[in-house]
Amino acid sequence: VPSSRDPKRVEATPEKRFFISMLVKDIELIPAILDLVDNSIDGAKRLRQRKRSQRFSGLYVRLDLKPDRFFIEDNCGGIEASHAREYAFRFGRPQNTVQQHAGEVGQFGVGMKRALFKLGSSLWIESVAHHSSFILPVDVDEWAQDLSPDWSFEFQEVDEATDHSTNEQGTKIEVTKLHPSVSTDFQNESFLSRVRAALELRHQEALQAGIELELGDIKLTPIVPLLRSSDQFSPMHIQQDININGGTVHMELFAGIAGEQPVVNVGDDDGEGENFRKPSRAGWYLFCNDRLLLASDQTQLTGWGTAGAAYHPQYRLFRGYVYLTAADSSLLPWNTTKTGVDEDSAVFRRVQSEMFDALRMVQAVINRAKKERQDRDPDDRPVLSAMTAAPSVTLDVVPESDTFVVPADPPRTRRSSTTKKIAYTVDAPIFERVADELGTSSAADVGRLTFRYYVEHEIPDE
Amino acid sequence: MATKYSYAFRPRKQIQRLLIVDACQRLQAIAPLEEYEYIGFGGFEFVDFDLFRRRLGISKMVSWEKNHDPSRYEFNRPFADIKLQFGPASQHLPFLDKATLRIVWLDYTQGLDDEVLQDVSTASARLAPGSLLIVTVNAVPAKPSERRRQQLAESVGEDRIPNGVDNASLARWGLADTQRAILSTTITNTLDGRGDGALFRQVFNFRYADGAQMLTMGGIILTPALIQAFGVCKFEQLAHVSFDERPVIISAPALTAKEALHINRQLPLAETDTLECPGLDSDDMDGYQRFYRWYPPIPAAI
Repeated sequence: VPSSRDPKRVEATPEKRFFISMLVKDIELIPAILDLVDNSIDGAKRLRQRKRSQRFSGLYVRLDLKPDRFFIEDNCGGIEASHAREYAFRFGRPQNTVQQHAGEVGQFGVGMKRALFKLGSSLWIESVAHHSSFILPVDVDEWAQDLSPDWSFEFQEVDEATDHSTNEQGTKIEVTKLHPSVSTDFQNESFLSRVRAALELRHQEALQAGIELELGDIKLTPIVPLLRSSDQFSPMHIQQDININGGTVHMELFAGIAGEQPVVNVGDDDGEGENFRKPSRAGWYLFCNDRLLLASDQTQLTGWGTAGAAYHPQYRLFRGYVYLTAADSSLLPWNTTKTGVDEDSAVFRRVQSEMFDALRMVQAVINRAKKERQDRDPDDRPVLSAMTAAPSVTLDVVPESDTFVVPADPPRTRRSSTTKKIAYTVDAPIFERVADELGTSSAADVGRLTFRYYVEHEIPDE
Repeated sequence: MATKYSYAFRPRKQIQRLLIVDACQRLQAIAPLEEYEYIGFGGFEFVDFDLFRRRLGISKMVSWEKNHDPSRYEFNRPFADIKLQFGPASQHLPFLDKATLRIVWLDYTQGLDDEVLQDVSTASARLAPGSLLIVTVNAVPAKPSERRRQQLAESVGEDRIPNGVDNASLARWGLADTQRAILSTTITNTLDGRGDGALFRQVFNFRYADGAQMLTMGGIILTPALIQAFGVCKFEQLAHVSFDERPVIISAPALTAKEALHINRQLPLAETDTLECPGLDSDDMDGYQRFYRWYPPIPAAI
């Protein structure tokens, strides 16, 4: 280390190696990969700024995760050499950076480098943009060993004289000399399926808008939110602007009954379909500028209580979707790695309040349906009938309503003191046969119908 | 304390109702009382509905009944236009419109638990500014005494229990004090999230025991625009309101008709005098003296 001759000078220059370890310390591997895909999707947004359906048709992002090599390739616009030179590889963002485009995710200015350092130590970045192209190889170990105060990288090739059509534009990033733990993860099937699920959820909107997202040889498909909606039975759907710190966050909230699964056995307490193979999709989904921050959340954070009011399988039909958008993404309630919610933010408190309110409403509807199924004849179940009859629709056609629309509770004439409740247990195989014969799968219906059969055949008319 | 002579005569609960009804007169400064809707758990007796109708002129009334027994409730309701809705409050609260002014009295028999807190939170989220929210819960500390804190944690969740609460501090009215603090925090937190600047101004903080110890806390949901009107209500002129953690303990004893007549003849009391009545001690006297104006008629025979 060149020491200064000035005796008053105190050395405080950071070492690169130390800096790298600090930089990657707080980021997990999956978020690092998501960050790189986010960069591609941001590129797609810049390239296709008009919002219309199939906005991203023809664009692709291809990921390949192998034990010895990470590779991502897109045709989403590339990085201009000037941008790479001045901004893209800096640590932190210069204060006079140009205003970013509306709705973009990147705001911290460390995403790409941090993600790459997390993966491995040999980087190859190749970009073709509108006005330029470059190749930038980085041997991180060599770079870190150089103890000079020079922190720059060097293009291997750069061309700023040639324009490129949108078809030619794109970015390729290859990382080799993967860190041993990364290499291990990339051989792990369950890790790879988590990456897949995270991408399908996180980029469902971009996928719906036509982008091709591939993981190895798997084409990813969006998970499309669907809710049951009709004139008689319609989800809660509200829109609000939240003003905060001189800016505005737009909130759109939907809460209702899942559309992608049939309405059967509402309110049953069995844990049908809720195991590690087929995780429950029930709960809240929260998006910030189209990126998923919470997926099927069933915790206190989103209004599920403690003890008796915790999430329970009887609520497995619940779905809630919250979309927060802001031109200035720093207003959104996410943490610094953009992977979770900042629970203390004022915006989130406001959103939480609406989520709690909406959840109580849907829970009340599910409880009414459950009660009907337990206590009433099949032809006297207004809420359940309306729920079953309501078609599944995508969120864009759900009408706005600050309350859940359900049939009113009709006046009852039956007195509970004149009824009796019967409960008994039978063997499953014979139950299945009887249920099949009766054309129902509900134990309550089987009980009711077999009892009625006995009454009709054995009890003399009065 | 005077020996209780009847299980059916429960003067303290009725005194509390009358104190609340008296205070509700003051809501006039916020809006005409006819504009308010009263929601309560009527039970078969509908005592509160009768008072709110006859003393305050409130005509819009809804009773939430947990049990489904329509014909008996219909028979017992004192006015034909009281709307009956069946099922627990959690079925109805989420569907309250946000515009109607209301007096909502969630008069539970159970202790404070997650269900109550969720109802209170839903009510706080939806009640229009100017509305009054009242919550009554059972406040009997758990037995044995070593289980007091643990049982509270099981009911409301460990993270809701304020710092410094232990088995000893939950003795006597200690559980009620803690329950009030938890209710207050729940309401305030919910209001913070509403985005309309809503605030909670507590006016009721009652304790009474006709048998089981009970807590009643209540207050008004305000927005900054209503703070001035709230000031005009002048709740501070009433002797039995509480804006903070200090409770109003309704301690009037159950008296016989003859005892009440005897004591009433000595009231109001000159400063130098003391009340006397055979068999009753000074605590009974003090309690009666504080609340005699709201003391209910004593049944001649049970």
